[in-house]
Amino acid sequence: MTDKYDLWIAHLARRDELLFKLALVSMGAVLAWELLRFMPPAWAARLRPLYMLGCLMVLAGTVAVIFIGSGGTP
Amino acid sequence: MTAIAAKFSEWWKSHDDDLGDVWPFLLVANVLYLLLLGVAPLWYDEANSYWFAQMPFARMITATAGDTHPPLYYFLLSLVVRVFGPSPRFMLRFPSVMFGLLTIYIIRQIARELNLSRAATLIALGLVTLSPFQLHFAQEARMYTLLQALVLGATLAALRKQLMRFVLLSALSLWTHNYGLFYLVVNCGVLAWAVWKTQLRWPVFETVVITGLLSGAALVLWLPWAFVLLGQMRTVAGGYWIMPVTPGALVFLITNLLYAFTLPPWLAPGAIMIAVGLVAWLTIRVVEKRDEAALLLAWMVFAPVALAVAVSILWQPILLYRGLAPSLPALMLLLGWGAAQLPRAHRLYAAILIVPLFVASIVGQYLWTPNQKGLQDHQVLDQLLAQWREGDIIIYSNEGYLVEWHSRAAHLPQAVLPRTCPQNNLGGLSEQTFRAFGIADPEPETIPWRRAWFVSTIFPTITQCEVDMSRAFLARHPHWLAFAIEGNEFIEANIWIVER
Repeated sequence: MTDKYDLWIAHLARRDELLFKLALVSMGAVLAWELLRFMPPAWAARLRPLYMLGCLMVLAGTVAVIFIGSGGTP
Repeated sequence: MTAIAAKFSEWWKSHDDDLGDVWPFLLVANVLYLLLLGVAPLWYDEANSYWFAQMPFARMITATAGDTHPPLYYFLLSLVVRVFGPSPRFMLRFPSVMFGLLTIYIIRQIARELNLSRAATLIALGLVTLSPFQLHFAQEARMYTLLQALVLGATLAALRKQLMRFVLLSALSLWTHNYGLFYLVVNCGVLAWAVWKTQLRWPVFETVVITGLLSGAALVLWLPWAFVLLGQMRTVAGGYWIMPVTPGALVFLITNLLYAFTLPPWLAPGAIMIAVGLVAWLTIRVVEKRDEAALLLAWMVFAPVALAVAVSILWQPILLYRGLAPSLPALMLLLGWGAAQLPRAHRLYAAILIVPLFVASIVGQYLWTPNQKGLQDHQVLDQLLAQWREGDIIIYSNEGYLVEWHSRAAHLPQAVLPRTCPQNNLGGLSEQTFRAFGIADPEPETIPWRRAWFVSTIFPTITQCEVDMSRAFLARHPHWLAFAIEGNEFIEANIWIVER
């Protein structure tokens, strides 16, 4: 094979590693959501909306940072 | 007129139960699927489909046998080509639109058989209608929406215990894509569940016998191709472009199934996290609730993936998101089931997370797919054709661009450099398909030409031997660069003018 094949394999490995890390973060967020049910019901009822809002803000913030970092073109 | 209107009204009333929920979704999907259908050029795989479809039947079978798919889709496409002549792109892609719409209708019927709530059904139908993956493959001249319709049709037949229909649709799915084998296993599970639920005298015995007989009958109908598949497997084992399975590759698969390929890069990380989070959340819900319908849908989503991963680990990497197209509607039904149980506010939250990503990807589909499918390459071909003169020939370093440009340049003198390398390009045509296509690969010096347009491509899956042959050809003749088609760290595609 050519050197481009090696570059491609290395690129895929980097991509897969990044995807896996993102997946871990995501699964961690879901797990944390599920763990809320083991809290006292009153606490859980208060924390759930905050958690949802927090996740949405973190997600929107991440998207905004990446968008600006990428030069701001869609 | 009145009689026709009355007949239509009667027909509509008789089908109202079937169509009542689903027709608004069919209408929206119809608009989405037909919009700009013929704009993007045929990319390599679609051009391959077209070439197969143009061939006489016997040669098409020979060429397909050397490839990695069964021939049913190419046969159906050949009917389109025979009816409409050298077909415009719109017509070549139109069958996929029809199968995509049929899939939506079948999803509605499956939801009904599984007794999913109205909310669950409507959410699932909405998600499928807006699915970027569905849109992409409904606008692609490939076999994936046909595979979906046949596999889901077999699922529906299994749920309804329509045994002959189950056998026929399963056999047809086997003749459409080799992943049909995985889905036969999946649908056997669905059939076993449906049979088990009836009041049987000897439940285990009768379930095993009925499922075994019906799957056996489907396999018998497919048997002639089973021997061809063995040959195809030998070709794939000799070297293929699909990469080994990694955890990241599984995440990539989920992402592609949900969003296809046209999300802006800055949205991708968030989209990936949402996709994985949804699947994780759904898995927890299914395990927690142990609802029969949800378990069955989870089986339809995850079992084919597990089978493809197992084969990839035990034999040769074959895991490819496209083949898992029939799992996407099941995933959407599962999402509908999960979302329908949420409080209204949580449902809205989920919609805020998913719908904008689907819409962004759909917009991307219309904006960027023509470029992804090689619009630039075709613009280069336009320039080449504008400068064409008597005594010219196109010589390719491999058959990639030859296949892609075949629908427009078949009438021109063309050849590929001789295929003398010990190992073929990992993503290229097999020797058998190459010969059945009738592609010429003579020594360039043995054929007449005064000036050659030499299309030289270097990309990850080609061999060093092929690169060396290209360089040797250029070294033997005066040459200069005419067009730089593409150049980055992975791909170099150039067209050289070569004088004799």
